[in-house]
Amino acid sequence: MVELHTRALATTSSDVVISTDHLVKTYQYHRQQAGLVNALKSLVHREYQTRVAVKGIDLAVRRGEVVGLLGPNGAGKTTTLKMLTGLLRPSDGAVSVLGFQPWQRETEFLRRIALVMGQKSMLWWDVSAMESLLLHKDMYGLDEATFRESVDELAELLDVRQHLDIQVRRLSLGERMKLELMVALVHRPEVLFLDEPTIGLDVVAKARVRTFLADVNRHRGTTIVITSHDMDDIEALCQRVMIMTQGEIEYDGDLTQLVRTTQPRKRIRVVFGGPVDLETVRTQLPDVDVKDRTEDHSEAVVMIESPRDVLSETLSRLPLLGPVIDIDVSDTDIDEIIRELFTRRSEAEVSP
Amino acid sequence: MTMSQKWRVIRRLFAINCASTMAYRFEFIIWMAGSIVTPIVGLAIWRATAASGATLPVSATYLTTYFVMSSLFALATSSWHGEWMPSMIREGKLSIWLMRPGSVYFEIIANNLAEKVIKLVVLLPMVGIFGWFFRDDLAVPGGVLRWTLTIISLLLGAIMFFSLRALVGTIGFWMEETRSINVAIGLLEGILLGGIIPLALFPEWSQGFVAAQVFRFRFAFSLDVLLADLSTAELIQGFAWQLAWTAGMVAASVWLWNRGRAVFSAVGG
Repeated sequence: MVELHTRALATTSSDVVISTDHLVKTYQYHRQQAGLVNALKSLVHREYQTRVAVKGIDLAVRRGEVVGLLGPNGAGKTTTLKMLTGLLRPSDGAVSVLGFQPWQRETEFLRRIALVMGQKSMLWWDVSAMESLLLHKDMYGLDEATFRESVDELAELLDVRQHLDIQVRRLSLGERMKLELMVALVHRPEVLFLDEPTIGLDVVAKARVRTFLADVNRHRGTTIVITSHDMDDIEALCQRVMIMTQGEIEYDGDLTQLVRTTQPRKRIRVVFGGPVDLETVRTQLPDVDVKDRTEDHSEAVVMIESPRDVLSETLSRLPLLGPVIDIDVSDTDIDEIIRELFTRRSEAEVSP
Repeated sequence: MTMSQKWRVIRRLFAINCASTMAYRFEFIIWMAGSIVTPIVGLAIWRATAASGATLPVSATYLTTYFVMSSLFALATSSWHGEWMPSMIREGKLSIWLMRPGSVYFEIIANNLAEKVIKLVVLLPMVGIFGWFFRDDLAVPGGVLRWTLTIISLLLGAIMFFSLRALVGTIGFWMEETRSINVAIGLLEGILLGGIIPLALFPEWSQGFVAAQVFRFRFAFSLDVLLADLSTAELIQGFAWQLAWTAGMVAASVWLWNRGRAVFSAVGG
C-alpha cells in the first residue's frame, strides 16, 4: 500500500490559484473471479490490487483562467477534480487551491469554491429554487444586500427570474441546470469546478450554459476548471486544455496550438457549379488531399484538406478547377483531434 | 460557522423539509394510520387476555394509558436516516454536502424534526379518537416533576436512537447494503421496544435483562416514568442506564462517522 504522504505546497505566485506537485492517487481493490467457488473463496481470502489513478501530475492554474480537463473514461480527470475540490485525499504529492490543502475542507476554503456536478443536484426537488438560494445565503453567511445583488445578476445572466418561485420538479432539465449553476455561484466563489455541466441538455440549453459560464468568467473573474466529454463546451469556454490519459497529463496548453500541432491541415469544403476532374485537382493542388467528392448534374461538392502554410495559395487556385459557388474553411472537428491524440497514445503503448 | 449561523441553517432546512413533507401529506396519513394500528392491536390482545381470566402484573388503567400514549412516544423518539444514509453515500450525494460549509447532519436533524411535526399533526387526532374509545380506563397522570422527567427521558431516548440510526447508516461507508442490519434491528425492536408487549409483562426471570437493554430506553422507560410510579432508586437506576446508553451511542456514532469520512476521502464517492 502506498504510504499516505501529503505536504503543503507553497503557492509560488499570487496569480496561481491552483497548483499541484507530483499529485498521486492510488486505489486498492480486490479481484473477484467468476463462479460460486470463487465467490466463497473471496469471503475468506481476498486478493487486493493497487491501481494508480493519477500518476504524479504537476499543474498550475492562474486566476481567471478557464481550463478544460479532457480525457477518455478512466483517464483520471474526475479523480483529479475530486482531489482539487477536497473530496479525495491525495495518496502522495501536494495540492494547493487558493492556498488551502483541499482535503482538509476548511470552512474558509469551502466558502471560496464551488463544485457543480452535472448528475448530482444541489436543489431541493419539492420546493422552489429560491429556497435553495436562501439556504446558501445562510450557509455562506451572505448579507441581504450581497445576496440580492448576486441573485439579480445571476437571474439576469441566466434568464431564470421567472423560474425562481416554481417547484424545481416542475422545471425542465435545462432550466434546472441553469438554477443549479445559480445556486453554486450565489456566494461568488473564486474557483468553480464543473464536472460534465451540460450532460443531458439540449443544444439550446447547452449554448445558454456556455454563454453564461463565459460571462461569469469575464464579469467576476472566476477561475473555472471543467471536465466534459462535449468538445463544444471545451471549444466555447477554454483557452487552455489539459489532456489526461492513464493518470498523466499528456498535453497542457493552448487549445488553438493543440489543433495546429495535432492537425496541421485545414479542411476546405468547395461547391463548384459543375463537374470537377479529380486529376486536375491533383495537378493544380499537389499539396492537398481530396477527402470526398459528390456530384450531381448541376454542382460538385469537394472536401479537401490543405496544409496551413499553403492555405492561401490553395484558395487562390480553386477557381482554376471550375466555377466556385461556395467555400467553407474550418479546422478539423475538435472531437476528431482529441480522438486521434488518444488513438496515437494507445498505439504507441501497444507497439514494442 | 458560528452557532447562530448553524441555527439559521437548520431553521432554513427545517422550513424546506416541512414544505417538502407537505408534498407527501397523503402518504403521511397512511403511515400514521399504520403506526397507530400496533398499539390498538396490542391493547386489544392484552384486554382480551385479562378478560379471559389471566392475572396481569399491571392494572387495566396502566395498560390502556400505556398503549394510547405509546404511538406518540414512539413518534417523538423515532429516526429513519439509517435507511437512506447508505444510498446517499453509495450514490455520491454526500459529496454535495461535503463541498459546502455545512454538515450533512444539519439536514438529517432538520428532516427528522420537520417530519415529526407534520406526523404529529396527523397522529394527534387519531390518538384522540383511540383514547376516546377507551376513556373509561384512560388516566394520564399530571405533576410537573413527573412530566419534566418524562420529557428529559424522551429527549435522551430520541438522541440515543438518532445516534443508533446514524451508526447503522454510517456502516454504508464500508457496506453497499445495510438493509439486513436494519431488518435485524427492526426484529429486535418488535420484541424489546415495548410496542406490542409492555416490558412489565415480560417474565419475572427476564426482568434483569429487559430493564437494562437498549431498546427499553427509546420510549418504554419514559412511559414508565410517566405511568408506573417508579421509586427514586428505580428512577436513578433507569436514568443512569439511559444516560450511559445515550453517551455510548453518541460517542460510537461520532467515532464511526469520522472513520467513515476518512475512508470516503480515500476512495471517493
